[in-house]
Amino acid sequence: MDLRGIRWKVALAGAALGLVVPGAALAHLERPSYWPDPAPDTSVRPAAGGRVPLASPLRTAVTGKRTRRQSRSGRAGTGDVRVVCQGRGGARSMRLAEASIRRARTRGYRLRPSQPTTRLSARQARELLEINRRLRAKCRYHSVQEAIDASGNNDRVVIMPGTYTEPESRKQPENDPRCNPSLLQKDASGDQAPSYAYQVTCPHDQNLIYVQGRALKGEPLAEPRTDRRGIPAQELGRCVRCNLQIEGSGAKPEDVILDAGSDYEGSGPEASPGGHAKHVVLRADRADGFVGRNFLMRGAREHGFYTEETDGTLLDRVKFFWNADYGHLAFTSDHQRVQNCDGMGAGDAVVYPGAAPETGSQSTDFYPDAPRMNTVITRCDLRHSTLGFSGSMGNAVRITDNHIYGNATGIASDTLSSAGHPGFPSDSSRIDNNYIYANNFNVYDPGSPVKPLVTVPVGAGVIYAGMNDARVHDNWFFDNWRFGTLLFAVPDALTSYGGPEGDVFPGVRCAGAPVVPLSTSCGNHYFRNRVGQVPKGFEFPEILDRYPVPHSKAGARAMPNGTDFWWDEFLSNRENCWYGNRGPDGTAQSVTGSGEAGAFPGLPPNPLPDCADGRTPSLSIGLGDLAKEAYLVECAQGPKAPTGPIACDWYSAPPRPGSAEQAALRRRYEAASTAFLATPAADALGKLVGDLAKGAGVTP
Amino acid sequence: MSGRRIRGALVPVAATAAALAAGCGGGDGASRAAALPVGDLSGGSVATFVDCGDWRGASRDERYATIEALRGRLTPELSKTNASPLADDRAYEVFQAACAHGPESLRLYKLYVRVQGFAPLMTG
Repeated sequence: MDLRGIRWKVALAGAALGLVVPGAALAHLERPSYWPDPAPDTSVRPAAGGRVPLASPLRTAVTGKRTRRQSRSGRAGTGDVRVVCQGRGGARSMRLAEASIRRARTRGYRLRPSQPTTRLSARQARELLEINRRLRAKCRYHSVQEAIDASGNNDRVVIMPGTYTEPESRKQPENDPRCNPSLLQKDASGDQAPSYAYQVTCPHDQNLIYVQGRALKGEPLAEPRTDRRGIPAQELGRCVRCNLQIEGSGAKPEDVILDAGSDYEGSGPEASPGGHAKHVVLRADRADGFVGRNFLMRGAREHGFYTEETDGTLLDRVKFFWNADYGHLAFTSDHQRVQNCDGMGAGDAVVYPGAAPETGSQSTDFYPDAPRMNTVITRCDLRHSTLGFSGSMGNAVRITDNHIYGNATGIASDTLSSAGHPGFPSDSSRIDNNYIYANNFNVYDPGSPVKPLVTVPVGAGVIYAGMNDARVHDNWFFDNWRFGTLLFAVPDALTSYGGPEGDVFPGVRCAGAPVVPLSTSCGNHYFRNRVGQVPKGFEFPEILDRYPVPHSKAGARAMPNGTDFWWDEFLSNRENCWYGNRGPDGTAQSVTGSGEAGAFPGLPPNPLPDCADGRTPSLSIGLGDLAKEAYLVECAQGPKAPTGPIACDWYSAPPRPGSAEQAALRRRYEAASTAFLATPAADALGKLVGDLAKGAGVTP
Repeated sequence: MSGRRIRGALVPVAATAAALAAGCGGGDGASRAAALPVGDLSGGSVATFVDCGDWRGASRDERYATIEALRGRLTPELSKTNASPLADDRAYEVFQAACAHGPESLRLYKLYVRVQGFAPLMTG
């Protein structure tokens, strides 16, 4: 099939400088991993998992009284309380608590930089002070880890104000010969990763603080199972620390810092570490019903918080600062909620729920209550990182009511990293009611304070690289100088050699998939978003300018994105619809897209298929665009010198929308794209795409 | 641990059949067999931490050994082989370019994943 005949849009007319981005693939390396049984584990009381756990109020740590609701609902942390503090008799922690409470009473604090100041009332301040006095009297631990080790199911660890560096954990060697190589686990081809037994036996090889949720039982399977539903019974031990609650007792999260960093530059909670003592600050492993609240995790070489194969996690009032890879990482975990959080300084993403359970359009009877969202990220500021959010195989994850700003790219979710990530293909993401703006942080500049680990475009709001059945609605996208959103396909043959990881369950939206090897980028709807408009009364958070992030001048009512909606139109992709969105002037006519599936090339504003206002999705089908595909391939290869007519530019700051520089760049790419279509390379690419699409029933 | 560089020691780097199948290149057989991957070794592999800084400081043979180590971790766990649609020579070219023009902090496994994903559409 010669796709040169396919009508293609000069994609970039609307695409503002738009070289595309296979960017979302983030990936992470771990042991062969399984989704936990989503049913509550009734071997403990209250049952563990089966839902997002509820937190016990701080005051009950000292009163010992359970509220009626607490008893009825079976909250975490209702057992024994262990208090951790600093100084002789907790004197240092008490001083810090008093100062913080006083300040929170008189001057207030910001839980998130985008939100107004919160002040404690006189009564609240008195009560919190009294709680801390009583906690001090109960304090028996100076190490968080020691308190956790002494805890069992339903217990609670309360940490009084201070910075906890956990010297004993730091002393433990990495690649500890007690565990390495004897407890490394092999995959089918013999490659190794630390097993659960490795983490339990040598908990501080990689982790500053480790929560072992379940007992050791048998050996892992000799080879991973294709069906990843349920942790193999032969290695699933009983609950030993389920329903554990860990919380800080300060007025605000920064009062308790769990710190894996070293050699800090500057002072204060947002100081940048010059070194890292451990890979992970706090790892909760198979720890069903875990609650973490009111503390800051900082300075890991990899991740601030890390949970794997866990059913039920609540993180509330937490911060993730300067963790070199991810601030938060949840993997193959169910019933997750992260709320009231703030994160920055991540070389990859602030928040990453990856390999999320199949509770969306590919759900099976393993999830009798599906479809449902298995993970919710809400009321968070995700900022000043390479990515605010990411998730490979981020099935049925909801991102709602957040401020996502000052990153290179705001959100990315993908099917690119299929190796090691069960749940192919990614589906049912939901992004709604967020403010996504000024994601123009050029982390690839040599002077960037954030060190990028991954390649994504500078200037993008949301990227879906191989997503199905997503809903993106009621968001505000503005001042993202390259793209508001991007949607593109990752054909199956490209996911990773050897095919997807684990079983592929029915319900893939793309026609004929997975028999037809084009399983991604179908059934996505973008609606009722405001793009390029600024909400009334909006002000940029002051903290945005702490790092060099270009943005528009405050006060404007319109702050356009480079291109509002970009779509690659991959051949045969269907049912992708954009409708009811309003642009900078408040009308649908000012929304910019990258072309309408083969029709009206280059006509501004290049609307995308609206599917009769979303009522008839079958009206949308991708007819292919070789220029866009060439960009994707180019950008996949990371930074490099310009090598051809279609060079990738996403590692530099994009020009301001509406500027002469932007207009010139668009013209350049239009010409380059046109020229590309006449080359033998376009012929060759067309043949490859055509071969992939054979059997999809779409004729260019 | 910070700043410490450990030469990977656990990943056998003899030019395996899988590597040959993936299109290995560079160096003679003897020198490649002796080479070790670069980057900090953790949990049995250098894959997690090896970055552009490590790449820049490595010899040609060490770079190929590193690609082989990455390939092992970045093909599916269920796969019996480490064969990849991304030829080692192509991976080498991509890393050379990316590490010449990008920051040293870039983790090679993250780049490898996306290049591997688009390898079947690479025509040049």
